[in-house]
Amino acid sequence: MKRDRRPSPQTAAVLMALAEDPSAWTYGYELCRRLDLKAGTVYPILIRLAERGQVETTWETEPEPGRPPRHLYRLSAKGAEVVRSLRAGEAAREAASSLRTAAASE
Amino acid sequence: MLVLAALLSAATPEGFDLGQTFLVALFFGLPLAGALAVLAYRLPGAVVAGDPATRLVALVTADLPPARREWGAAMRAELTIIDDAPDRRRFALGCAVTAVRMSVTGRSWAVATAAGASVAVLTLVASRVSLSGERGGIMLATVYLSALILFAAGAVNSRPDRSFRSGLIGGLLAAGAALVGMLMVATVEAVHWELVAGAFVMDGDIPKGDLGRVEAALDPLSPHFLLLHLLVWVPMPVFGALVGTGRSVENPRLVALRL
Repeated sequence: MKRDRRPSPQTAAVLMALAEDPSAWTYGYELCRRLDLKAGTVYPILIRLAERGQVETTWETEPEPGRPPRHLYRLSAKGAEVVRSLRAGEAAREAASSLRTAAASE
Repeated sequence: MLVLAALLSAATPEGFDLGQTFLVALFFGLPLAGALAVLAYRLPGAVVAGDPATRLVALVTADLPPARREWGAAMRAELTIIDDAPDRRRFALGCAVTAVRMSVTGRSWAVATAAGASVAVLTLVASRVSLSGERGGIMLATVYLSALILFAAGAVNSRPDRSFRSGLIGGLLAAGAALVGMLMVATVEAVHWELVAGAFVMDGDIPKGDLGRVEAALDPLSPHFLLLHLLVWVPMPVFGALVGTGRSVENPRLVALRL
């Protein structure tokens, strides 16, 4: 039976960052800087997400003159579903936490 | 290599000999030179012009398996937009870590475990056969027969996806496992040899004075024995990976440098 594993905090961070503007293509290095994560962390995550179909990839069609085309990433529909379930899980945890706090204060 | 050969030659009972030094240098130097030539051909990233970050990224993304070549091209392209030298270094190191992690698969670990276990068994058998026979020590077996195992490890790792890099990294992992396997058995067997024959396990030499257990157990860890093993072992995964890769469909230089 296939287990539904919760993504690591770094994977979740990458997904959330891509979900900020799901239609926009983003560079991998831009994600590294935005999330303050190392390339050795972000790129394996992007590869894994692309293999799972949660991220779409493409090449720049009009690279800067004298520079090779760069790889671009954006969230796929499947990735957007994962982000929705991540957000739902987070909201549920926050709700449970505030219930516990309220119960403790009574 | 000549200096090393001279040291090895000087360590023999006959002392330093120029002819022997030359032969030793040739014997160990040829496989090493061959391995370096293979590496220079298969991993051309090292000769790409540019700063250390450019060279490192080119090196670690050269000759990737077909499924990862696009990633390699993306990394080389990404580096071109990073201007700050420390950022470039960090990015290149991150790429290097990722590239090595990509090349170490479940198969690499399985082959390394099998190689380590095989070398451990080989060491034990060599020890017991030698002890019950001429007592010449185990070194010939651990150096040369184990080298064949490492050749096979390089070939087995590179064969499935015809990737020289997978063969090389998997083969080197196997060499590490083989060293651990050999040393674990050899140190235990060294104590056994001391008890039974009062001799060193590696070469069967009998010391002039009494041989203590600690001294016996540390014999396989002597730098010159370790160096000898590494000199013979290290080229083997390189050759194995080359054979396992077979006839390359594309010139690796062009594949590595293509964006």
